[in-house]
Amino acid sequence: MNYFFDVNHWLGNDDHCFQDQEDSQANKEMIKKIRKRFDQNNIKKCIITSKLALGYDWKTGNNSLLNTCLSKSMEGIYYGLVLNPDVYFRYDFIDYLKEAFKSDVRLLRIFPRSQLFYLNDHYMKSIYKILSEKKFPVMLDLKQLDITGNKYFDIDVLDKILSKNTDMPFILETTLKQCMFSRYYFPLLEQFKNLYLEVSNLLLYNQIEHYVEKFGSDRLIFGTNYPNLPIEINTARIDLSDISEEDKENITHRNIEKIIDEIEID
Amino acid sequence: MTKIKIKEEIKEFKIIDSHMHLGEFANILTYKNDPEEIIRLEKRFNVKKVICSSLLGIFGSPRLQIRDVLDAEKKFGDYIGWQIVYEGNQPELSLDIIESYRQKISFVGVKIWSVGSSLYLDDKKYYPLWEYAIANDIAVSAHTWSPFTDNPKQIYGNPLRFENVLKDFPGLKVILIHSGGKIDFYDEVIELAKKHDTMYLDFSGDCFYPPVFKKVINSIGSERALFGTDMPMMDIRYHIANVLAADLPYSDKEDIFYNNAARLFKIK
Repeated sequence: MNYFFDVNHWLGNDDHCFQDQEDSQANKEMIKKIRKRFDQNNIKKCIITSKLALGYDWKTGNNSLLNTCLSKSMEGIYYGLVLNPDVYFRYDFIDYLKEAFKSDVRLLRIFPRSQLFYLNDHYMKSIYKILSEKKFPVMLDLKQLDITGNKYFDIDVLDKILSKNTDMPFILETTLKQCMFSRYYFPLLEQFKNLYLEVSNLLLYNQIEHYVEKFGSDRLIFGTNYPNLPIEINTARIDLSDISEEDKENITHRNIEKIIDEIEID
Repeated sequence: MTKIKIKEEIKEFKIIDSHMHLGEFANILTYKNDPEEIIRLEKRFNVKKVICSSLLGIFGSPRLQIRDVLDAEKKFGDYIGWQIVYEGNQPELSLDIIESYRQKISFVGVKIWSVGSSLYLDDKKYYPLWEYAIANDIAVSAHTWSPFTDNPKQIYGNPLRFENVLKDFPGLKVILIHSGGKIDFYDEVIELAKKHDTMYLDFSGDCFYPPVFKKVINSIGSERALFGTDMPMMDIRYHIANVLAADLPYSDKEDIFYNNAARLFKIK
């Protein structure tokens, strides 16, 4: 296994003091900290998302993240933007996506429960259609489909979206105990080849081995969910997994690299 | 390679897994959930002994657990130290089972799951157990969880209720399984443990937080934190990494991985 590509790395609210003056001391300190973290854990590439965009406001957080210019300062850094239906209402979405791509955005993340919209919202349908045409990846936490908060997931809505947008790579994150409810997403993994699972929080005994055997290693994508979880537990889990080196390579970086390479933005 | 050279570092430690299970978790799919496979994985990571309770006993029936225990003893001998499940709503039956079998199996203690019994941890139905445990110098493991979560039943696992129990039963050896289960609740649990030196903390579960071990050791010393996995619910590899990633001296990790459990469960 050569290296890790972390698709699920967060920049905390306070870190957004880091702004677009590349020479500032704050910038240099931040880059030093991130470099150290990556070197210690053999992370060569990652997609960073803003906590501010999730917890406060998507536009403010996304813009603040892009203004950090982290991707210009460090090779292998990409951005994940938080997206909700308002983006379609406010912008020409194709132009928005092209601009985002130019700024090293390679993932869109949606949080319907936290940000109060229906996953298959009227505007979201149009967004998914464009993302499918452009083969642009989207990531969703299964917990966001747990409307009651008691682990009963509105999985049919995801089925509908995947049925209509078969070229949109869809990465499903399964935080904490949502990972126990594989019965919800197993049928979708069997049916839709564009559905992937992010591996942080696949905590059950032998769960990674199980999924590789059942669906193949090309359906799993490495992520850490840092700083919500320590990086080391996820890197160590893959290091120690009972799967082949080829499978480890697929999970740790090849699958997400392939998805990114296949994005079709002019 | 990752920061933790886990393959190399783990060889330096012997381990007691002070919290694992055999059997089926209710309503959860686990892969290759056969006892041989689970024990193979434990041994691969230098686990010298496991402390186990039967899932059939926890989720099903206190009487039926004995069938599973005896079957597993035939296969694994004393590699497994058994905790017999005490069901709070059947105190007489539970104590009878414990008393009948503790000399016949590799018995190390008692396990309770108050959430399943819908009983608070200071419910009087547990009092016969506390009396028995003190009289026989037996440690009791209790599932604990923060009451401030989505799942309303977890209120029955609130570990702060042990404040009342330990007033009535000073010296009771109790293990707080999961230590309250949530990072934002650990501080209160550690404060409780500071006051009771027979209280032990187990950090198995799904909240990985390496700094917790330093917090515990700074507050109550290195002798009351236990390594547990909750296998086959959770995978042992996460828990090993969680301890190895903690900023602690080697001797403290030895205590967490092995020494504390060996002393508590009287393992030679």
